Amino acid sequence: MQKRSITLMKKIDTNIASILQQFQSIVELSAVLDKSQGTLAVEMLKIESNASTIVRLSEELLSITRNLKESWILGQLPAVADADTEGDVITTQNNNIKVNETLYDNMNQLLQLITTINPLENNDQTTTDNLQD
Amino acid sequence: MKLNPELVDNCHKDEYIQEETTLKLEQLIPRIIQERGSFLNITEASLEQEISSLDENNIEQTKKEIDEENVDDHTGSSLETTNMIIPEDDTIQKSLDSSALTYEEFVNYKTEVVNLMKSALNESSLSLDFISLLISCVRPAAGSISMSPHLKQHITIGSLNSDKLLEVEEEEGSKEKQLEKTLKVGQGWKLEGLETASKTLRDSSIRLFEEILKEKEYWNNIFKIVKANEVLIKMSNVGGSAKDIGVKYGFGDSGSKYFDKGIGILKKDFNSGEIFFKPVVNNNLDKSHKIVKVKISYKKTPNIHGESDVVKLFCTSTKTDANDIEGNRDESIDIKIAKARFYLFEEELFHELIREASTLISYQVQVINNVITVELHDQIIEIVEASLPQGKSEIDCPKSPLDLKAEYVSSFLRLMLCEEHKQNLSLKHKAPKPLPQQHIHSNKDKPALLLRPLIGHSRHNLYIKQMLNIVESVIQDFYPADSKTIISENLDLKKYNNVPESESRDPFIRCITSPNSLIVLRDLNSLSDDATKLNFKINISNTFNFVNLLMNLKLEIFQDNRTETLLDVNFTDFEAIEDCLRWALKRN
Repeated sequence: MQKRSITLMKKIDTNIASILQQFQSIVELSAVLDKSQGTLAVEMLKIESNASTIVRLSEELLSITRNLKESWILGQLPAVADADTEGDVITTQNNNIKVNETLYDNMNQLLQLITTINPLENNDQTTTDNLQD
Repeated sequence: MKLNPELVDNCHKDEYIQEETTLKLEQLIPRIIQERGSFLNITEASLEQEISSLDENNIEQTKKEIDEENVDDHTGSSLETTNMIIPEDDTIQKSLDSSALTYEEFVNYKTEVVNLMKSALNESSLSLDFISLLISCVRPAAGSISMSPHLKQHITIGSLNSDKLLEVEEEEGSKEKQLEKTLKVGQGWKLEGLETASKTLRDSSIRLFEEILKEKEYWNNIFKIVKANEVLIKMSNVGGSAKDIGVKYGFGDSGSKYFDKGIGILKKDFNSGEIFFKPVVNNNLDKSHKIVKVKISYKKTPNIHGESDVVKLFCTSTKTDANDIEGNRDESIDIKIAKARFYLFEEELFHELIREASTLISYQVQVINNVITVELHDQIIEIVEASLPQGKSEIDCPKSPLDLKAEYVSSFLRLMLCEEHKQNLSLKHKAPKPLPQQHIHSNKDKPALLLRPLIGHSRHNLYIKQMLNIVESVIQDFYPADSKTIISENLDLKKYNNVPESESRDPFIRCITSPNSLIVLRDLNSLSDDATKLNFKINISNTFNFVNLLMNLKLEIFQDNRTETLLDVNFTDFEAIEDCLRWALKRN
């Protein structure tokens, strides 16, 4: 496994663990025992801060998924034709050769058409379709 | 004064004082001022008094005492040294005795002290701020006077308050009551805290859920672009946000040398998660959405002209429907990218065309007001940048032959630019040349081969036709009886004879090599001698820049099983070559 994925996994684990921990501590803090008034006040604030920590941690988890998507999208090469197997490769090659042949024919025709002096009698060929090379 | 060298020499030799004497004047004077104040206050009388008191000391005290006295005297006068020395400290005393302070040590001590003072100042101003803030709650005006500007800027006045917690004197019976009260208040607080916490959590869960929906929309769009086989890249630091994903829609990686490499940025709309596509251009050029259009007309009838169909071109290239050319706002992102790519190509094409045309001014190619005019024999080709016609146009109107030819020319120019890209790319794959050669053969600024193949090959075909006419008329003149058989059997025309056999199928290679054709008139019976055969080889070539004409006539004579070359002459004029041909036939 790559180093990066290990750190990501670790991050997920630690984040989840600390979310649980924060939540647990909220539950623990919510008990009112014979504590002094000051402690109670501090504990109330702590509950709130724990809640916002949980939010922050979950946001971090979301950013991990975004990172994953990004590296997945950017890390792959665009698929070239549909050449998965060896046979397909050969057929695509053949297709390419065929395409080339027709392209060459059309191009030769085009060259002929535009460079001969009176090309206009012979106008039944439409070569413009080959524009997208 | 201690500074008097005589005094020092006479009375005692103290290293510390000696060192003082070696001080430079510019160091000495500030020091005196520091120790004694301004020179204005020093009078002769006071100096005399001081000297005499020093003298008395010298006489009265033992040497050790004198040393001590001097050190004390000095430390008393110098502020910095006083800070360093605690008179009771024996070790420091000794070190002062033995070597005194070097200048570096002194500076070190000084900076140390200054730092300590600074931190003390900092601490005290912090506490001043704190106190002021506290006071400002009760008396805002008084508090804000002593507040630092930084605090004033960032914190509202009166936002800190204090209260004294009084331990309530507990009566015996009320202790339980008190506990109960604390319990109740505590419960209330806890409840409040929990409510706030739950509200925070609920709100953020809603917010994050919305965020996720936006993310989903965003990535769906991105995925659509990936499916459309676009190249996505990570954009670094464009406009401050490093997270954006970019798309390479242009031809920068396929060999284009145009300044705009065609990189776009996919911006995310923070409200809806939709993606916006925005091309990144280095300068603030106004991107005009123009298409290269070819018009052809005859010189004789300039009113009738043919045009290439830009609408069809646009639609096939961007895979859009002819009916929504105007581009409604909610077209999908891949079509937007396709359009940007299309316009980028057109822009580059026209740029390259203009660049090339400006080098061809001596071959009837003109550039006036962004219109390229090419004169070819009896036709005039105009190349302009046009925008898409607004509104619906008749798509399937019948096309005139001139329209078709214009179409062909425009396709040809586009294909040649593709070929140019391909050539550039293959050049990039080659190992780089050594620097000095690179400098000489640099083809960085050479214009692309777009118009020249068109002009060159057209002219070449014309030349061939003319040459064939000449040859035929010559044959008719000299062999009136069997001219037709000679023309059909002995006359050969071989085109593109300079292209290697292996590549002769490739029309692009033909296009980018300068045209060259060979007319062979072989096994011609000599007029004078039946046993002698004559071979004429006429090579028609256009020079390296495709447009100039160069002809070569080679006459070989075949006699007694031997082949001899009789003539090998270059011509640039048809009349001259005709004369030469006639002359050669007459002589042999």
